[in-house]
Formats: sequence, C-alpha cells, structure tokens
Amino acid sequence: MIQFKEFTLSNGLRVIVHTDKTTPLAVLNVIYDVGSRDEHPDKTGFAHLFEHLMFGGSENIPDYDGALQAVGGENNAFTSPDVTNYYISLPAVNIETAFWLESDRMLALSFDPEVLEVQQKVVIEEFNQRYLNQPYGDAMLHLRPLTYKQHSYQWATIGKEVSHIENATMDDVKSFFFSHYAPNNAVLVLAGNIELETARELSEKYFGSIPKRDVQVRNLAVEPENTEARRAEVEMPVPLDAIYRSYLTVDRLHPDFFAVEMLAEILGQGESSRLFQTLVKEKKLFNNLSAYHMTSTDKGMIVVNGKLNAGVSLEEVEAALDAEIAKLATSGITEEELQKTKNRQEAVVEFTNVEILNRAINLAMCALLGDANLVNTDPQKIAAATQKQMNEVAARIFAPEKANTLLYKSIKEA
Amino acid sequence: MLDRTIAPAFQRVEKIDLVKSQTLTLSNGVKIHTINVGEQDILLVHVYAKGGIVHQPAPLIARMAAGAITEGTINHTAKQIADTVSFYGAELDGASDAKYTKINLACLGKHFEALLPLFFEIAYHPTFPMEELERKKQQFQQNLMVNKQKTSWLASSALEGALYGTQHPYGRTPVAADADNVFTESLKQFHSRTFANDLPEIVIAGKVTDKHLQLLEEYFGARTYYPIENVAAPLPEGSSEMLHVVEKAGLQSTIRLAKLVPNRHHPDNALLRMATEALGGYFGSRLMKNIREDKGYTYGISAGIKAETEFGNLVIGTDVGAEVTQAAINEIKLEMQRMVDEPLPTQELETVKTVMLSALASSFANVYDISTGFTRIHFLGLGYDYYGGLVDAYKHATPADIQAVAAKYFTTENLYTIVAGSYQ
Repeated sequence: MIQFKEFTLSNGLRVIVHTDKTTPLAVLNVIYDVGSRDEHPDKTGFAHLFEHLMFGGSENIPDYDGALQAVGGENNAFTSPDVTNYYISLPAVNIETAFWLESDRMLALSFDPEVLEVQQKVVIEEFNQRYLNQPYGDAMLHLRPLTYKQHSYQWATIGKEVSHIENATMDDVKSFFFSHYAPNNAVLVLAGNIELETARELSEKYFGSIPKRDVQVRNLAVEPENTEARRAEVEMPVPLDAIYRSYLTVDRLHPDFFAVEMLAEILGQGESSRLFQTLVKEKKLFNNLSAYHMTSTDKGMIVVNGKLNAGVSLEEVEAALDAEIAKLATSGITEEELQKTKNRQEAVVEFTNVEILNRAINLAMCALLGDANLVNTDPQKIAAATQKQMNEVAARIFAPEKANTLLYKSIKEA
Repeated sequence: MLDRTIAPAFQRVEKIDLVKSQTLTLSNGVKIHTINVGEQDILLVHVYAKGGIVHQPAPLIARMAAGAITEGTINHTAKQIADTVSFYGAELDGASDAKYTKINLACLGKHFEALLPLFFEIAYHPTFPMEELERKKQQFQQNLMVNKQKTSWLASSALEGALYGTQHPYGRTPVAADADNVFTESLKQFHSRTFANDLPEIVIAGKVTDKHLQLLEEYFGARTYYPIENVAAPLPEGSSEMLHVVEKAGLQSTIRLAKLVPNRHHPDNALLRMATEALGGYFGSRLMKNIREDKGYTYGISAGIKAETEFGNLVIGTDVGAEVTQAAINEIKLEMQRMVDEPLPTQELETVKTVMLSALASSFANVYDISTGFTRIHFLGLGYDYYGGLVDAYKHATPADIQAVAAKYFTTENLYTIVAGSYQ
C-alpha cells in the first residue's frame, strides 16, 4: 500500500502528499496534462521541445539548474505522447527551494529567443543521436503511422521530422505555454520526508497565487480497429533484417488493460516467453525477439520486434511468427502462464516501489488518469485476472486482420 | 506578497549517514555481507568469486561462461531454469568483469527459499550445453555486426585499445573469430578452475531475515573451497598515436577524450573527481554550459572518472553534429586548459561541493544504491572510510587544490582523442 493524502488549491492545482520518513530525501513532481498527442500535425515534436525550454529560465529565476544545484538538488523531465513530467529530488530540508523553482516556471517563462534557438539545435542533435544515427533507431517512427491512422499517436514524441523542430517560433512557444501549462492542468506530488502540513503550507504559499488558465480542450479522434492487415517496408544499411509488428490494444482505464499487459509478457518478455522459446531457441530464426505493451492513456499497442538470424528469409520468419501469435489467439494461455505473469507483475510492483521517485511519478500519472489510488487498486486487478478473460482478449487483439507489419530490410551500405 | 526573486534559505549536506553492510564469516571462510534496508519485501543477492578477464585463458571465455551460466545445469535444462525463475517473478543472471564472475538473483523475499537450490546449482554445476552455446556465439557475432554500426560503440572500443594497447586484457575488443574458439569444454574448465573453486563473497541486500541467512549458510557453508590467487593485470601499453579516427559517414560523430589517471586508492582521487565534476560531471558543468547550452552542438556531454579496476580512466564523451566535430574537440580542450590556467571561482566551487555531497548522500537512499555503493569499493579492496575520505576532501577543497589537480591531469600530455564519425 502506498499511503497518501490529497487536496486541491483554489486555482485547481491538485496536490498529493506521500510521506515516507525512512528517506533523507524529498521529491517534488509536477505532471502536466499535455503530450505529443496534443500537437498539431504540422508542428510535431513541440511538447518535447517545450520541455527543454522549461529549463531556460522563468519569470523571476534566470537560472533554474544553477539555483537547484546550489541546494544539492537533482532534476529531470520526460515527455510522452500523453504527459510532460518534471521532477526534483533533493535533501528534504531544502524542499522549499523546489517549491520556489517549480512554481515560478508554472507562473511564466522568460521566453528568451536565444534559449529557443539553442534548444532547437540541442533537440535536433537528440533526434539524430537517438533515432536517426542509430541502426534501427527510426523503426518506431515508421511503425507508429502504420498503427495509428486517425489518432495523434501516429507520430513519436520526438516529432515526425526535424523540420518541425526547426520551424518552431516564439509565438508557438507562448501560445503552447498559456494553453497547457496551468495549475488547473497539472498535478503536484510531494513524496519522501515531508509532512502533510508542510506540504499544504508551501503549496499554498508558492502555487496558490498562480492564476487558473483557459486550457485547450482536448478532442482527439478515436483510433478505429483495423479491418485489414497493413504492411510497410524500409531498406536501410543495417547488418540484419528485422521485423516490427504491432497490434492496437486498449486504453489505460479499459477493464482489459491488465489482461493485455500480461498477454504481452507471456508472448515475449524474457527467456521463458513463448516467442523466445519457440522462435529464438527451437527454430533458431531470430537473433533476439521480444514483445511489449506500449501503454498509453488512449489505445496503446503491443509491439513485437526482433532481428533475424543471418541466412533466414523474412517470409519464413513472418510465417512462423504468425503461427505463434495465432496459437495464442486461438488456444489461449495455460493456468501456469497466468500464475507466472501474475507473480512477475507482483514482483515488478515491489521492485519499482523501492525508489521514492517511482512512487511519486506513479501517483502523479494515476492522478491525471482521474484516481491516484489506482496505484493501490491496480495490483488487485492484476490478481483478479482470469484465464477466460485473457483468452477472450487474446482472440480479439491478435486477430490476423489487425496485424501491422514493418519489414526492416538490410541493404549493403552505398 | 511573496517576493519570487529571493531564493529560500537552504542547508548544505554536512554529513552522510552511510548505511553499512554487516559481515558474517561462515566456518568454511565464506563471507556474507548483509545490507538490511527498505520496506519492500525484496532481495538482491550476488555471489562474487574470482573469474574475470585477467584469469581467462583466451578472449571471451569469462564473459561467455558468465553469460551462459543459466543455460543448463546437471539437473535442469535452460528452459526449465528460465521457466522456474520467471514463474517466481525473479531475475537470475551471470556477469563478469576484470577480476570477478558474479551471479545475481533478484526476487521477492518470500520466494528465496524456493529459488536458492536452483541458484546454487547454477553457481556450481553449470553444463554450458553445446546447442545453447552455439546460439550465444552466433548472437554475439551478430550483435557485434550491429554494434559496428554505432559510433558510440566504435569510439569506446578504439578508446580502450588506445589507452591500454590492443593486446592488453582491458584494451582488446573481442572479435567475431574469438567466439569460434569458445567451446563447452573450455567454459567448463574455466568455471571449475576459477569461480567454482574460489572462496566466494555473498552480498544480500533488501529485507533480509535470519531465515534467509540460515539458508545461505546451509548451502554455501557446506562446500569446500580452494581460494585462488589474485592476478594483477599487466601494465598498460598505450598507443603512441594520440589521435584515433574511425571514419563513418553519418549525421553525428562520437568524440572521446581520455587518459589514464590514478585509481581510487590514490591520494589525488577525491580532488580529481571534483575537478572532473566541475569540468563535465553535472548539468551546470563547464562542458555542458559551453558545448550544449551555449553552442547547441550536442544533446549531452559528460566527463567522468571510471575506476572499476586497478587503473583509472578520465573520459570525456559526447555525440555531436558531424560538421562541428573539430570545433567541439577544440572547445573541450579549451575548457580543460581553462581549468589548468585559472582557479575555480569560489561560487562555482561551492556549487560543485554541494552537488557532490548531495549526490553522495542520495546514493545511500535506497537498497539498490546502497548495495552498489558497497560492492563498487569492497571488491577494489576499499572500506567505508573511502566515502568518509571523500566527504572530508569535498568539504575542505580550495580553488588552489582543484587547479593543482587540473594542472596535473587535464593537460594534453597522454590525452587521447578518439573520433568515430567524420573527421576531415
């Protein structure tokens, strides 16, 4: 159980406090309800670029990082298709500095044009380093638009293309800030060695006076189910052919969500998984092969990917992969597999909760979904999953017409 | 009305509460180091015994033996092992480094008793079946092909060769042909002569109970060991060429600047770590400010001291746009020289001290970090006073101390420059 208390400021900022006095640290985590799914199709990558700008100075504090380093704090942030999350971890005695810093950049940024110019370059280098200059690094950039035709998950958080980052303007930055960065569009989590009363006082003192803002209303298309299998191919100078396969799944609050999670695990997580045992070990078709559930607030996807052993053909491998997945869809899982995946999920929760930061982020994510107590009730849903439910879900998710296949073909370097 | 321009008062971390391990020695000499900490019912168990790169008769043997140790035992197939470990939601694997082979188990405390017999069997009775080994060998060779497409891998490999010499155990990057010479027999022999014989040290961290310790004693206390000698690595024979370029067309170049520096036992260690932190160890460091936040050449740049063996390495690393490769190298050298020429301003030194002391304090905040904090130094022959020494040195360092250590180590003498990517 993760114990926590919750209250809301008059400007709409939700605050969650999780006190743990066994640690000398405190964490302040702010999550904003904005991600790459909220971007305009011609201005992708913007939510993430914006995250970089949040470190470029705020209205009253020119040097965010310098001020935090001076009190021994560490911070970072991440942007996903759904959310943008910022956290600070620091000695608990200095928690007030975290309130001061984090509230000032919720109030307003410096909107310095030089910061924008430099961070555009930095993000382009990030784009290159992580996606374009890595073997197979761009595969997800191809798989997303194959999987999503209507929903804005069709582009990755880094963006569709580098030019979108290059073309961002200061006007874009300002309008993005005032339509998404607002107390009424965020959740503040305090975790670690901090008392509820201290958290309440400091929240009021630093965040209480930030005005409520008109937040852009989200109105996203629902991704329809595939009625026909989709295929795409790319040719790249990589040493081994690879195959990427996706299946559209369910949204985070759907009753089948954890069944999907567990199916992905049974299918392709670790050396005892079906795909590894059959296609890597027995049939020796793949160099490596795994499956995972890429979860998201709206419908997610199961991604299966692997690199082929030299000398085997893509046709042969794809047929074998289809057969394995069909077996799961038609014959379902065993009682032992169900118990195994439940045990693994239970262990994952315990190992994840070791770190106070993980507990804070998890609370923040669940609060944005509407109920912070999901951190405690989700494990019960996992424990309650049945073989029957999972088999029904498998049959639905893994129907052959719902498969999206990206063949990543190796060619000799020019 | 709140004045947001004024920073709140703060305190600097002045002392660090080290959460220490307790050591128990069994009658046969096996040492068990216990770190009992945390609310979650988890256990991290590591068995360390000699069997590293310095002990191997041929390249790749230590790594393959450790990597394939879960691929079969006298009583269990690879599949049975994977299924059992997975059934209990656990992780079990082997790894090797310069000196040691270690076998790691992470599981819920309630499953430890069920997993221990298998864990022990994997540690002492692996069979390295040929079929599994052939797959591992092919996998190694294919992964190598993929790695050769990565500038970061190419640069790291060239770096080790330059620093130690390409025939040195720490400098030689395994090649595809090395895997062809790995066989079941060679792994069995290596395992039985090193890890299986050597008196192990066990580290158990998490919510540790007396029952867990009794179980460990029951298994590991009943075996007879024949400790093997420590083997020192030969002295490095670095390359006489100071610039190493691996040409690879692409959007970015990976840059590494590196040299050999003293290890953790040396009196300069703490100050050298401080100078390196100031140069490129934290977000507000000089290299980050210049190369990323001022010029936008890179997503990230860092400087660090790597000292996991008897040798220390100063390594500065970054991936930059191909067209600014030379410019970035010049800037890095300029920042190093600036630390030699000018003392660190007092304010900057204060920030470095705060950053390092806080980082040290927070590295004792949870069981993963506390466990790593112990193993990292213990197997180099250091005790907890190592951390006490760091705290003292960090607190008392002056700008002159940092400048002196920079003058000693941040010069271009013996400094290798490695580029994988474009360097016209």
